[in-house]
Parts: sequence; C-alpha cells; structure tokens
Amino acid sequence: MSQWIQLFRSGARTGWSNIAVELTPATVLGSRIPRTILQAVFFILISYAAGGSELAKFALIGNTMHAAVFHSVIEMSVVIELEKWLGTMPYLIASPANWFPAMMGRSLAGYVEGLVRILLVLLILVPFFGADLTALDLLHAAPIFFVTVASASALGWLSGAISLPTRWGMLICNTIGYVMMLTGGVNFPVTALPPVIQWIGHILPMTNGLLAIRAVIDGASYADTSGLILNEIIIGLVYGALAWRVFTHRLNVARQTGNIEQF
Amino acid sequence: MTAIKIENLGRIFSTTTGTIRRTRKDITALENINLVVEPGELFGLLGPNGAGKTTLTRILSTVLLPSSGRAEVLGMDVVRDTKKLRPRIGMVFGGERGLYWRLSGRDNIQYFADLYLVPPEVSRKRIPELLDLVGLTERADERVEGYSRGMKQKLHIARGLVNDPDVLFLDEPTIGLDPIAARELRAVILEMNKRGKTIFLTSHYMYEVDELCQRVAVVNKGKIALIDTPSAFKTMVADLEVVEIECREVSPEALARLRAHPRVASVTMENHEGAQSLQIQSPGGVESIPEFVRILEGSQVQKVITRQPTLEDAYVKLLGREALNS
Repeated sequence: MSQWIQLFRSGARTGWSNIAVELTPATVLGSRIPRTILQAVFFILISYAAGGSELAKFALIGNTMHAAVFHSVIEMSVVIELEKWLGTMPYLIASPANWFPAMMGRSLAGYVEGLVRILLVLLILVPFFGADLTALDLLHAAPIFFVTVASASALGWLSGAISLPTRWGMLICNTIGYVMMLTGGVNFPVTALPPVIQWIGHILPMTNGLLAIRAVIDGASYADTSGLILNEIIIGLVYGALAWRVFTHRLNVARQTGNIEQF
Repeated sequence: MTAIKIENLGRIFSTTTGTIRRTRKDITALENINLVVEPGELFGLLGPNGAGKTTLTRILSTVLLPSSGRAEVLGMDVVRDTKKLRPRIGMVFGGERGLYWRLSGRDNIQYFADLYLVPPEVSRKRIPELLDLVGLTERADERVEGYSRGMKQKLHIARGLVNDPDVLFLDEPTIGLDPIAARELRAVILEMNKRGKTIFLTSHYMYEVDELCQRVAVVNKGKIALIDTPSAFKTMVADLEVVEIECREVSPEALARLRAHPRVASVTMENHEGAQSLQIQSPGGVESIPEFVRILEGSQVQKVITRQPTLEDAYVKLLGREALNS
C-alpha cells in the first residue's frame, strides 16, 4: 500500500509540474479561461434564443459539467500521449512499478483543473446571464460534480489505454467528448433523444450525474437521486477497471508490434 | 551464471507502405542472434544504422518482445520473468528524448526512483550521489528544457543508474556530444564498470568501443558478423597499412581505378568542405604511395600520410564501405 501511495504522490507531483509551467497569467487569462467560458456561452446563447431563460439555465448547468468532463477525458488521454511525445514510454514500460497509481497521480492535476473549470464557469456565467441558481443550490450539488468528473476521468483512461500503441489518441478522446455532449443531456433533455442514443448516453459517464445535479438543484434530496448517483459511480468503476485491463493488454500489443512511441 | 545469454533471437517488424492502397511489409531487424556476456563485462555492440542494435537492446531491457528465440539477463527470461528482472536492470537510450523536460533534473530522477520502487530513504541518499557522479549537482534543480544535449545525456545515465542495476544497457549514450562531454561520459561508464556493473554498450564510434569495451560484437543487417576482443578484431587488418590522401576533385573513374588496384583492400572517401579525404587500406602501403598518387593525377593531391590501422579500419574491412557510409 505504501508503494501505491509513493507512486501516486510521485505521479501527482510530475503531473502538476507539467501543468504548472503553462499556468502563466498570459495563458490563463488569454486562453484557458476564455476557451472554457466561450464554448459554454455559445451553447447558452443558442438555448436562450430557442427557449428563453429556462432553457438557458439548462444549458448553463449542462455545459458547466461538460466543460469539466471534456477537459478531464482529454487530460487523461494526454497523460499517455505525453509519454509518447516525450519518448519516456520505453522507460515506463521497462520499469518494475505498477503504473496504475502513478498514472492516477499523473491525471490528478487534470481532474482538479476540471473542477476549477466548473467553478470558473459558474462564477462568471451565473451572474452574467442572471440565471436562477443560488450558491446554496450549487454547493448542495457539489459532491455530484466531484463524482461525475471522476467517473469521466475513468473513460479518459480507457481512451488513453486503447490508443496506447496507435497514433489516434487525441482523435478518440475528442470523439468521446463530443459523443458525451450529444448523448449526455448537456443542451437538451436525454428523453428528447431517440431510444438508442438515450441508451448510449446512459452507459457513458456524466449522463446520470448530470440528471442528479439538475434534480438536486431543483430541490430533490440525495435520497431521491441516490439511484442516479450510484449509477454514475458504478459506470466510473466499470470504466476504470476496463481501462486497467485494456491498458495491460495494449501494453503487450505495443511490445509485440514495436509501436511504443507511435504518435 | 552469465549476465546476458541470447539464443537464436529474431525480431520481425511489420510496416505498411502507401497511403490509399496500403501494402504490408515485414522487415527482419534481427535474425538468429547468439551471444553471451559475462558478469562484470563491458561489452560493445557495433553496427551501421538499421543493423538492429537498438532493437536488440530494447528486447534485452524488456521493452520489446522477440519474434523468435530467447534471451536471458541475469538468468531470467526477458519475456517471462520481467517482474523479477526489471528492478535489476537499467537502460539509457541515446538522444534528447526520454526525459520530462518541464521537470528539474532532480525531479526526473526522483520520479524514476519511485517507478523503480527505490525506498525513499535510499533514494534520498542515492539521487545526490548520482547527480554528483555525472556532474549535474549545481544544475539539478533547473528544468531539463534548459539543459544542453550533454547534460541531458548525463541525466539519462543518472536515471539509468537510479535503481543500482546489475546490468546497464547503454544505447549510443554519447551520440551527438562534443568531444569533452563524450569523454566525461565515457569516464562515468568506465567507473560504473569498475564498480562491478555489467555494461552492454551500443555505439557508432569505434574509438569509444576500442577504449571502453573488453569484447565487441559487430552486427550487420540483423546478424552477428563477429564477436571478439577489440585487439583481436584489429588483427584482421594487422597486415595492412592505411594511406590517407587529402585531395580535391577526385573523379569517379580515378576512384574506381584505385579500388580495382591489386594492392588495395578497401577505399573510403569522406568529403570536407570541397576537399576529399581518401582512406586506402593496403598491404605495404608506403611503397604503393607513388602509384596511388599517379592514379589520382588531376585530383590536386594536397597531403599524404600513412598510419597503423584502427578498429574502424577493421570494421570497414569486415562490413565494407557501405556500412561505414550508412
């Protein structure tokens, strides 16, 4: 267990150092914040035009969640891609450690950044659009935001694991992000989608979490939404376990094919 | 127990050509390799680009799987016994990649120490020692992106030693380094060997292998062409002298006549800023100099010297000039 903690801490330190270099006032104010806000603004404005303030509020909550989840999925994949870009993959393959805790640690910074994005979007856009959302409602839903971003991170690991011996890592995680936006009830209710798409939405992370968040914000209790939250947790755990299995398999594929550093 | 034992090892890579109509192509990188390295030995692997040196190093360090045959390191199979083997080996692949550029040198080593499950109380002591060994103590807390190529190579060596391995694989560790940095790095390699570590070194540089290695193997087109000590390897060309002729505008015809001369074993030519340097391996080279100069008539011969053959000359004789040019 102490080895797992050591590896997790070491991975987290490395992941943080990689991101910290980019966190200058210029990149944060000029790129990171605008990028997060503008995508949400785009969909909120469309929703406002289509259905007024209620639909805009719906889009605000959905896009706040999606901004964090999308970032989280991409960051998890980037952890693997980065190893290939840097040429450190052969050294990691040949190291005796169990990678899992180290990779979890490496992706921690991406998870935290996802949560910071939620905070940013809410802090800026709720007053900007005058949305009918109180700080208390949002604080009440905060634990579900945490769970949902975590379960989406597991899908990000799976995406990274699948793409390990290939050159389409960024392609696959971007596709996943857009499929989640389409099927997860971000800009319109899941029930408005065709049954097959609804089913896809419900086996992906975020959909159940987002439903629970909306319900809690609208006044439902945690007991009422426990089924949705439990589903979100189970989905996250299944994707996490799958990511680990696939990762081990794809690592062996990489050793067989020699496509260790393909990007 | 041997440090490294390789039996009938082979490796085939598949690749594709074309964009729309893709054709699969198999490339044999290694074929029927047999090799034994003794504990404590500093063993060199020479060969031209694409000969299979890196592939062999990667298989031995458990990064790649072989397609056929088997290999053992410290008595452990490189395919089946990776869990037991990995903590006991270290590897350094040449070049600037393979490090986290945004981290400091110290943090890089610390991360790999953790990945090699080095206990914190050991790594706290070992990391400063390694930084000192490679001369990076003063710059250890700077980000790697600001390091020179030589410093990165030194950091690679320190990283490769972080688990105090019994066998160290060094794949062209001095490639691209200036002569002083390369010399410093060779001193570190020798020091490691003196401390009892088995070192498996691949290199392009003959003088490096000649200076460092107790035995050397030459690999070409995926096959072992020779295994011997550097001095025994050099006896291949003991009957030859090397005539070096510096000239300008050597015609292809003159070069062909030179190569066809009965007293010429081989000719290699290097271009330096418009001038050519011909290295002619010849039995009884001194007596043949007037004849060589006559063949090169019209080529503005500027300087002629003779010297004793080196390991590089033996390498050229063994593999032919294509190997050297590649």
